[in-house]
Amino acid sequence: MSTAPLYLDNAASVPLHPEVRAALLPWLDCANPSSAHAAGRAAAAAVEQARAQVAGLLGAAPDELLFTSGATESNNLAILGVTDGRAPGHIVTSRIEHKAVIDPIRQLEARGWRVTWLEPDADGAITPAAVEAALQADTALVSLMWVNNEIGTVTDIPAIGALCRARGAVLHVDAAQAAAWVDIDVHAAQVDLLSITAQKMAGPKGVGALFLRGRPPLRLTPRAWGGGQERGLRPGTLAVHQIVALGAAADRIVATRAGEIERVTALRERAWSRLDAGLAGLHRHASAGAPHVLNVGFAGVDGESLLTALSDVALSTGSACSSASASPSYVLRALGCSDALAEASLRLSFGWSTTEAMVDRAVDRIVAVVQRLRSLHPEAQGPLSGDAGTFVAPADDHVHRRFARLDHAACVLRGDDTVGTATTPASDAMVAIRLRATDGQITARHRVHGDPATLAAADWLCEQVDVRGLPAAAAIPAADLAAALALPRVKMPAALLAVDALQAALEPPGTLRQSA
Amino acid sequence: MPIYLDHNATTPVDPQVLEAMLPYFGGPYANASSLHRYGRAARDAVDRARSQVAALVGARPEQVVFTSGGTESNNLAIRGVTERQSPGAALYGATEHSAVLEPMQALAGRGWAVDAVPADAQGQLDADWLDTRLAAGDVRLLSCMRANNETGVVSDVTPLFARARAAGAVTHCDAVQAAGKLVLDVSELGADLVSLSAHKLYGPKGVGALIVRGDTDLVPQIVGGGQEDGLRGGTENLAAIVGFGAAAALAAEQLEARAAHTAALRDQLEMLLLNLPGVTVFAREAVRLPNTLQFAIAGFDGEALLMALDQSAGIAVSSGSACDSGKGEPSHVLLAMGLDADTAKGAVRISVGQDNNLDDVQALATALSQLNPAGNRLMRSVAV
Repeated sequence: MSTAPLYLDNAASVPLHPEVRAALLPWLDCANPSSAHAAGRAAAAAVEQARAQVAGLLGAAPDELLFTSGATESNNLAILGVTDGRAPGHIVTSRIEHKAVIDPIRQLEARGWRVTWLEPDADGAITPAAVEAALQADTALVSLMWVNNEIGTVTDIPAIGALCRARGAVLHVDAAQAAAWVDIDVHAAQVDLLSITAQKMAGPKGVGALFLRGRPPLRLTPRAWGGGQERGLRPGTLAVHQIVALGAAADRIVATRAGEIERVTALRERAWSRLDAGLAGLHRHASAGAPHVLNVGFAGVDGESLLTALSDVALSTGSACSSASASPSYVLRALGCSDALAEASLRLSFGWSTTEAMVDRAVDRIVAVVQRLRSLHPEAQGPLSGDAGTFVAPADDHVHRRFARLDHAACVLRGDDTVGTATTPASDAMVAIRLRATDGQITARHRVHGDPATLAAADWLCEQVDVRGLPAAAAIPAADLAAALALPRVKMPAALLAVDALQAALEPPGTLRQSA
Repeated sequence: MPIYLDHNATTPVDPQVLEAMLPYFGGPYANASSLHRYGRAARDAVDRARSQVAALVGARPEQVVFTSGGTESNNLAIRGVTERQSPGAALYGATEHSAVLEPMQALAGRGWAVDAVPADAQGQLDADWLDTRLAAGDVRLLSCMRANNETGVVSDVTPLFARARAAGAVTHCDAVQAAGKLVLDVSELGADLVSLSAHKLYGPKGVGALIVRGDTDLVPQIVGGGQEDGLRGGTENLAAIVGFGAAAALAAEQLEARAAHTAALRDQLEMLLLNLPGVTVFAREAVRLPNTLQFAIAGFDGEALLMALDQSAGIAVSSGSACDSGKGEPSHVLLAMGLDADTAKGAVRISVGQDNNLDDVQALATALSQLNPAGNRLMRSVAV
């Protein structure tokens, strides 16, 4: 079995391309490009060459580009810089923007700006018609992404650019996800400000650029001062190696884009058709998007368990920047997805390092995990799918060790089994515990729909029935179960569900426990 | 072979730092916000670097906020403290770097009363002046650098910060030049906020940190994504952060050896220079960074001298701050120390590093001794 990493998270970060790396390394060690001596001038010349390369990618003039630390900074500088010093007016943006656009616009909203938050249509698109309808007499800024990071929808920026230019609104475009896949011409599209980042273009993290329309010049207030670099609009010693790498990444995209679009689109469709052949109950979000993103919802599985069990595959449930918060994708919810389906959605994103073999192995893993999770559902019929090893534990702790094995998951019911089931109004989690007497010995088995903690809690409790006997196991308080698995406080409902399911199994048939 | 004597502008990347960074320029190193194993590996690397940077300055890891460099750190400190306040007074040392001066001037544009604490001829700030100003009230922020980038003067900022904190002000220290050259302990320093930069201590460009101590209330300047505890949005600059961590660890380990090595070279150079006619060494009586020497030769223009050394001898030096180079203005630092504009325009800054040797400083002294003031085109004259 190949051990090549299953990296399908290129929308979060594209691995550095070897050609870009080769361009970067010689400049890691160089003078300060602000220095007047020859070494400093050589560094400055390298920066200017990269500026021309990035300009070539975007159809901009070199003097229309400012280097920044990445798209987040570019977005902040564009949105806060172009509105600074102006009386609050109106802004048009959308609910599916990246946090790096939403958060600065929320700051403006708090300072008195009126904001229209456009909703995507059923395909996940923000249409020119929707933008046109939202424009007001005092709309100062329209900020929209060219390609959505979670579902890959492509916005018709040229049409929106024409509308904004005609109405005198400044158009800012977050093109972080677009730069590698869309043929961008900022002037033809009548864009005023545009953000890009190297890490989504097979370049390094920590560098990006902001296109700032030069003719006629657009006024921008800097967000930081001191040193005068980048015409005073973005001061600080220029990170030469990173900027050179951004330039090399831009050049590489210009040279390879057409072929890569074809290759990566084929990979995306291969992934989809193999998933679709292997599983029912799939929801493909926004199918007509950029080549590199495939976002699929898996009905009937718990999102956290899905992602946890697939921890050997690098993919995400949405924006990496939102991953740390467990809340379901606001983009998918904006598309009308239920919270449960949004949580049980995976974003597979492809890039230069993705191969057919990688796609096939990842899809096989996803199919196996979804089948096993669905077979564990208390309402599922039939035998368990998969075995210990189908779920990969991301961490070596009590919950994850048990989650990966589930030695006490149930098999098919017999007529003389007693089953107790518990649910909770807090989620769609459900625990069923089956008691069976065999040769005077009572054994407990479970089926669970829920997060890894709930699966682990039911598994642990069933084991206690086998080890300590039913009366002792039934007397275990939820707090003791939580302590045995070192559950954090927020995972307490998992312990309650397991304990309640066992209690229900001891009560008259048909009892359903509702955990608090 | 060119000789690089401009380490206060930027340092070469130490080979050990490069080695630590290289793995992060290859392989599936991911977005540190991603939950999968590659994301977690990136997160672990960032956390390790955070501990290394914290250890260099006696901070706790959770007090380290990674930024894109010293300029961003200084701006985050000054704007972050003042942004949501109604205008009050903010003070800074008269010899600060432009990355402190300019955000302070921007504050003045927003209605703040902004004042410079005066410096004496040796670059030391006037504590009595500060006392008087603090007593007048409403001082919300004091920003003073630990060591000056041009003259190398090390300021005794601890008592100044103590006074300012007692008066209720937030204190910020630009320690970009001090870190790695002097022992630095943020608790002893007494600053609430401390700016650091990697590329002044043999790390990469494009990364720095702001140490945020105690419960200092800071408004983030780059938002979206929630990274760095919400204080600085944006995907972590993984390789650079790893490089910063490695550079910090190395600096902590080699601090004394580096200081001794560079001080020996600097002192030797100073002796050689003082044998030349017309040489003035600035702030010679002050405690200075071990590696820094700023001087002027009577009658010579600093920028012209810099270009001549560069072109004829392949020696890279600076006239002052790299960030202010090419502007043709006399150094505000030297003017603040009471020098006249003519003398200040003669300034040449030498900043040696761990990679220099005695031959390098000897070569510089020789090149300078061969300048012929009489009729030399480098001489400033009325006609120029």
